[in-house]
Amino acid sequence: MDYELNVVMLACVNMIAVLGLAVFTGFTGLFSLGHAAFVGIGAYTSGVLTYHWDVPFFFALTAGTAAAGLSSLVIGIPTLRAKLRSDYFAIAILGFGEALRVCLENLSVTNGARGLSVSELSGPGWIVGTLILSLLVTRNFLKSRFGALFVAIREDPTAAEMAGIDLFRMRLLSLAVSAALCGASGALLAHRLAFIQPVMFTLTQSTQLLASVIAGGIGSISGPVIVAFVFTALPEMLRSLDMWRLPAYGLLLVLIMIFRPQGLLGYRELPDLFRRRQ
Amino acid sequence: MTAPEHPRSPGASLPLQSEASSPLLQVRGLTRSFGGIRAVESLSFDAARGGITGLIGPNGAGKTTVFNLITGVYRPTAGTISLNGVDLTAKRPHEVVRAGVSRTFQNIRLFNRMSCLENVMVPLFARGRSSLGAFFRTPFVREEERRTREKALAVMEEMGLADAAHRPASTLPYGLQRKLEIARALACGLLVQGPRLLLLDEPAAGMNDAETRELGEVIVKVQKDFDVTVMLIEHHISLVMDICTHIAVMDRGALLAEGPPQAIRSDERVVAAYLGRPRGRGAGGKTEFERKGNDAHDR
Repeated sequence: MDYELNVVMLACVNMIAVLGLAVFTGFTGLFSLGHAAFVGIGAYTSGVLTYHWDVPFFFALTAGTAAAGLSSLVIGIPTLRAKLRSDYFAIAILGFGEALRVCLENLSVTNGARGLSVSELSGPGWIVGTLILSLLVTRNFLKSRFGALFVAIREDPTAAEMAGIDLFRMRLLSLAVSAALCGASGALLAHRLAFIQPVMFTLTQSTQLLASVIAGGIGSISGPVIVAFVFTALPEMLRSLDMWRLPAYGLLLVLIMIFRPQGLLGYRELPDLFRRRQ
Repeated sequence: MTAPEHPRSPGASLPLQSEASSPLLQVRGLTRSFGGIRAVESLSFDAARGGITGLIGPNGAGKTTVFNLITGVYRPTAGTISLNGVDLTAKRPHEVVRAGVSRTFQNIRLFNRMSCLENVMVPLFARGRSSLGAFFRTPFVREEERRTREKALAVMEEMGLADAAHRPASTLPYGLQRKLEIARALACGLLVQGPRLLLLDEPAAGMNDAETRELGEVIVKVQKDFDVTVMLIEHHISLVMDICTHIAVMDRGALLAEGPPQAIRSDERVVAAYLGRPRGRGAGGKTEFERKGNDAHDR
C-alpha cells in the first residue's frame, strides 16, 4: 500500500511540473529543454531552507515557488527580449539548466554532488492540496485575458504583436508562471523523496516534461496532466516486465505520436469530450 | 503635392484648406536598405485625416516595406514617420499599435484556432487592466471580460460578422476572413485616444470583381463609421480609383507620383512605370491603364 501511495504521490508531483510547462509550451508556443532546472531551483531553495534553518514547510514551499519564478527572469529577460525563435530559445534554456547543475554541484550550501538529505515533510495532504490549487489557479489564469493573449502569440506572433501585444512581457510572464509551478513541484519532490541531488534536474528530466506536454496535447491542460500521471505510474506498474519497461514507455510515446499526432487532447480539455455529444 | 487633400475633393489641387488640419501621417525621407538593396529610398508622403489613401506601384516597389516601417516591424535606415505629430520612428510594433496604427496583412494572419469573436477580443485584451486577479477570477476580471466581449461583438456586428462569432476563425470562407482581419484591426483602435490609422495590405487580393466591389463599400463604410484614416495597398486599380481620395505611386522604392485619382490616372510616368508604354486603342484612344481602371479586369 505504501508503495502504491508513493507512486501516486510522485505522479501528482510530476503533474504540477508538467502543468507548468503546458502553460509555456502548450499555450504560449515556446519549447523548453530546461524546465527541470526550475524544478531543481524549487527543490534546492526549499531544501536548503528546511535543512539549514528548519524553516516551516509552508514557507519553504512558497520560497521554492517564488525562487523558481524569479530565476526564470534571469534566463527569460536576455533570451526573450532578443526574440529568439522557439527552437533557439529551447537551446538557450538547455544551457541554463546545465549551468545550474554545475553550480549546484560546486556550492557548499547544497552539499555539492553528494546531494542533500532533507526531512520528509510533504505528506499526501500537501501534495494533493498543492496539485488541486495549481490546477484551479492555472485554469483561471488561462481562461483570463492572459490565456487569450498567450494563445494569440502561439497562433501567430507577428499578428499578435500587431494586435498590440507586448510579446516580450507576455512571454516572460508565461515563463515565470510556468517556472513557479515547476518550483512548487520541486519543493514537494524534495520533501517527498527526502533526498535531492543535482543530477535529478538535468536534460533527461526536462525532456520527460516536454514529452508529457506534447503527448498530452498542445493547448490543453488536462491532456498533459493525464499523460504525466500515466508516464510516472506506468514504468512503476510495469516493473514485472523488468528491462522491457523502458522500451514499453518508448513504444507508448511512438504510438501516441502515430495515432494522435495532436496529442491525447490537442487543443481540447477533458470536459469538452462529454459536452460534444448532446 | 504636400498640402493636405480634402476628403473626396473633386479638384485636382487645393493647396489651401479652410480646416486647419495637418496630415495625420507624415512620412519624410524614409529609407530602408537590406544589405546593398535599397527597398525604400527617401520616400516622403502624407495621408490626410479621414481620407482613404491608396499606395500603388508595380510588384517589388516597396509598398509592403513601407507598411512594415510604419508599424515598427522594420527600423528605418533613415527618415521619420509621425502620426498626428507623434514620432513613430523608434517605436516597437505594439507601441505603434497603441499610438493608433493598426493593420491587416497581405497573407491573412488570423489566430486560426481561436473563435472569430476571440480574434477581435485579443487587441482589447492586450490593453486590459486586470493582473493578479486573473489567477482567482475575481469579479473585476469577469466584468472586464464581459465588457470586452460586448465591445468586440459590436465591432463584429458592424462588419456583418455577428453570425460567425463563435466559429473558429480558420473555418470562415476567404472573403469573411479578410473582413475579420479588418474587424480585428479596428478593435485595436477602440481604446486609442485620438486619431487612428488603418493600414490595409492588399485587402482584395484573390477576390473576384463582385467581391472586390463589396469590399470597397465595406472600406468606405468603415472609414466613416469608425472615423479612421485608411491607407491601402492594392493591385485592383478599379478599387483604388473608386474609393481613394488620394493616391501615392511607388516605383523601385521611391515616390513616383502623388495626387487625386484623376491626376494619377492620366499621369504619363505612372502609366509607363505601372503598365508599360501607353497604347492607343481603337477610336476611343484609351490607354491600357484607363481601360483597366474602367473595366476592372485587372488580375
